Amino acid sequence: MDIEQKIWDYIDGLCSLKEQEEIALLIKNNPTYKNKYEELMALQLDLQALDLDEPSMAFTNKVMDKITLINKPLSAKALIDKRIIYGLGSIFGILILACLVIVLSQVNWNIPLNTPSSFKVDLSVIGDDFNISSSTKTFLMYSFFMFDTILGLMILDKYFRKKLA
Amino acid sequence: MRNENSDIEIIDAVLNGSQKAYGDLVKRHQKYVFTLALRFTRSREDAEEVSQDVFIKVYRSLGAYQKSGKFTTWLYTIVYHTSMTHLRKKRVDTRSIDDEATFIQIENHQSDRDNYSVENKSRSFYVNKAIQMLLPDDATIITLFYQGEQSLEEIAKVMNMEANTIKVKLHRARHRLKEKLEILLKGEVKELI
Repeated sequence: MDIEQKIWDYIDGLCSLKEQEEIALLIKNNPTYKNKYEELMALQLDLQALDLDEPSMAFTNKVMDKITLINKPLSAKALIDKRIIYGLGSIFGILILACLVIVLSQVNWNIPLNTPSSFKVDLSVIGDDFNISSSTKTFLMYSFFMFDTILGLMILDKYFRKKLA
Repeated sequence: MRNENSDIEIIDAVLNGSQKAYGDLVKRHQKYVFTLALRFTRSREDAEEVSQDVFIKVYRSLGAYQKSGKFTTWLYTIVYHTSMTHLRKKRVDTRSIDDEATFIQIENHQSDRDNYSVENKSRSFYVNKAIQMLLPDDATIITLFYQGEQSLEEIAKVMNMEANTIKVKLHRARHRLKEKLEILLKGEVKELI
């Protein structure tokens, strides 16, 4: 890192406390650092003292005149139709309930109470008793993929919203 | 926190239907927006046109503004992109917008400030003139950092770059500015002799 970069970092407060102390010491004792620091500080003060340019006196009025022709902005929340959200929510609620009913109806409730402490899943139950037609299986599979896709889209949406924020 | 209404309070008022509140927001930020646009356009007329476009775009998409971020950072992002689009439209040849010669050429056609008398020329006049001689990206970084009071991370968001890249670019921009300023001041001393 060159002297100039070091001193700019010092002026901008972008270096660590240790580096700050080191550079402060160099500025105090080393004439090269001291001269550079004074030169850069002069520019820093010039830049901080710069005034902003002003648009014409009628600027605000011009903008407001154009805005009166535009529809009033709405917040993102207001733009979303609540019926769509409730509709989607109901579909997912029904799907979850249906899954729960199917799973609960297939559970073997006759497992003895004195089963060993380790939890064991009776897989044979699925093979023999979980008899559903192939069309239902396809439907369930597609529903599962659709659910995954929607989840994926939601995650993507959240990611992009964060990035844009 | 300012004594007057914060940006968020004004935005809420606008979203609740108060068009008048938007006028306050325009008044508050118009100088920053105009100065930033001027760094690109180098002409007051064009800068004013760009600034108006910016405030109309902001009004239209105010509902999409995520209040988690600083309003000025969001606003300057719109200024940056609108100015870049304006610059691309304005260019008659296919040269890169990073071509310094293009801007030296444009600079020769302006500006009102150049007509100041020698006595009126303060140091800030030369600093402003030196900034005008920089490439738009360099001038924008300097303006956002010093006049827009944006951090390196916020400038990175505005310009869609990494914060480290902005740090390096800021360093280079100040170095170039110093060089331009030295040239301008030397020229002025010679003129006086």
